[in-house]
Amino acid sequence: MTMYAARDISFFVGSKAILDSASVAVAPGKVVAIVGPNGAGKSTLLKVLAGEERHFKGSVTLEDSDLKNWDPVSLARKRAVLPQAVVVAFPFLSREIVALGLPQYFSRSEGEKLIARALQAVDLLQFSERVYETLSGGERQRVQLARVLVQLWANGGKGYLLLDEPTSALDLPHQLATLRIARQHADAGGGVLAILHDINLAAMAADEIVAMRDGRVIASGPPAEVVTDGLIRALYGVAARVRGVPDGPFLLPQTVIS
Amino acid sequence: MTSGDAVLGVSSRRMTLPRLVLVISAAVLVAAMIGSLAIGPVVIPSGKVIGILWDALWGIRANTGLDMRDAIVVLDIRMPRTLLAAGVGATLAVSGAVMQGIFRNPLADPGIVGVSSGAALAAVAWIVFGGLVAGYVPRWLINYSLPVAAFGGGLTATILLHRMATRNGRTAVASLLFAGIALGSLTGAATGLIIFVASDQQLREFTFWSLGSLGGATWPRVGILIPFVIVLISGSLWLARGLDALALGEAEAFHIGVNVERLKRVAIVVVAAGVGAAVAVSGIIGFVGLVVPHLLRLSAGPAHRTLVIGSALLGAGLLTASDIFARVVAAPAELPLGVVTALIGAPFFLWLLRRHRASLGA
Repeated sequence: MTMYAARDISFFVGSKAILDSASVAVAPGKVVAIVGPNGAGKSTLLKVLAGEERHFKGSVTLEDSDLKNWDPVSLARKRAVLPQAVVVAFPFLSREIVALGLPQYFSRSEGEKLIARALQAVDLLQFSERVYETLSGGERQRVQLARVLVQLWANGGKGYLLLDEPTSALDLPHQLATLRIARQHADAGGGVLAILHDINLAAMAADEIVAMRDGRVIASGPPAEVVTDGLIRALYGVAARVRGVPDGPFLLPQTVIS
Repeated sequence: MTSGDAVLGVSSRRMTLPRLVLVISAAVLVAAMIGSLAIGPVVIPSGKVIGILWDALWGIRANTGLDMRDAIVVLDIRMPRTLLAAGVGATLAVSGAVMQGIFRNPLADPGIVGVSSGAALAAVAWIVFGGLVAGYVPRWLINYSLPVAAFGGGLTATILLHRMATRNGRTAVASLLFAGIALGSLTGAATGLIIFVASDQQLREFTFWSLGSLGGATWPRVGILIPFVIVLISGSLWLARGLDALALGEAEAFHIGVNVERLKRVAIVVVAAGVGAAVAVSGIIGFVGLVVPHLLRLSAGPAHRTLVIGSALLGAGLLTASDIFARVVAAPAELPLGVVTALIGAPFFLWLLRRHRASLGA
């Protein structure tokens, strides 16, 4: 099966296990959300999947081939990564940042179209001539999202999106827009793996939720099965009431259990 | 503010077209070169300079009277110096642009962070001790032994600097500058020790290194520099896309398909080659690699393709112009060129630091 999967990943810093036999997989057409408290190892797992972190135990496969066999260029055709926050070293314009997602020797006119489409998708077309570092945190995050979209669109429009807290700096309408973009990408035949902190957003957008704590995956499955009072308590030590709404489970956090 | 070390308080939009900036840079270069051929103890009108060049292009050369004298002055005396000034200027500016790209920092200049002094140390060591091993150097390499030694010194200095200043793919401004200062002092001290045992003749040769000068310009020196300039500029153009990607960060560059380790290795080698050759033919000339790329980023934007081409043109033009100034201002004596560039560049560097204060935590 053409999946993107990490199996039994363990990762140590010194003697501390950041990841402890964690597994996660995403298939085309699916949106998978990773949730869990700070320091659970979510970002590290994403880095392992991205091919960025190489010193781990376990295996990562992309389309049935071990990630070690992928060179950076071929890998970039198959997956794009949105990091938490990107500081750009020189005064590049927004559209120049987005253009970095294009492959080398890509048709200029096609490229211009994709850039405009991506900036439109993140609602920043009017800022295309602005210097990136003068934008607000949320606007920067959306420029980076446009860049990773262009990277996948220029390579056939499928491929995998790895998103590390893509909504962390966004206002409510843009959070929803970003999750809609993720959904559309999956519906178009791509795969999405996103780290999210808002369980309600995750339950709404994802086909599968993977809950992590202390470097381990403690639950995974469809939101309606995974998101329960018990999970929220086990995951965060927070008392919450989970109720169903027409689109799936919905939770109201109440108090931190000491 | 996290963006402090990225933007130099520039306006949020860009002012000029990159292409226009390149045309202006090329115009500056042409004007400076003609000026450099025209100006000196004997001033030759620029129209006549162009005539001499045009004739030389077709193999025609005046062989009588004043015309012959002017042709000798332009073609045999001023031309090698002009080409050397242009070549060294282009090399230093492009090296600066590429170094700033790999360190993701606009303050990385080969002169400031100790790469030039590393190259100079190796060059001085070769002048003083090279005689002991010269017999083992292959004949074809002997003319290049000095720039090759300087290249080795520059390479070692760049690698050391990178090891010291970069952690997890991030270079902090402060650690870059501190590491550069330490490296500069260390190589300076080592150079001092070597001078201690040098002969008078070697000492005279050395003086030339410490201040930077094009006084010894000859055609063979131009010949030594040219291959290095070609390697540096073509290598840098090849690196341009990767350096753009690197502005996002090392991990992000990898995500979009850049082989970051290879990019950095190639970049460090071409920079060391460029700086080594420039130092070998002209000594330490500072600040060109800092000022030129910065002016271009402000006017044409930071994309490295334009930046490399523009740095080559404008670096060549500005250093040629500085050399005219160095020759003319105290004529018949000559100011060391490194002194002229420092007089212009050092205040500029301070201004740049001031604009960076936020990110330096000072």
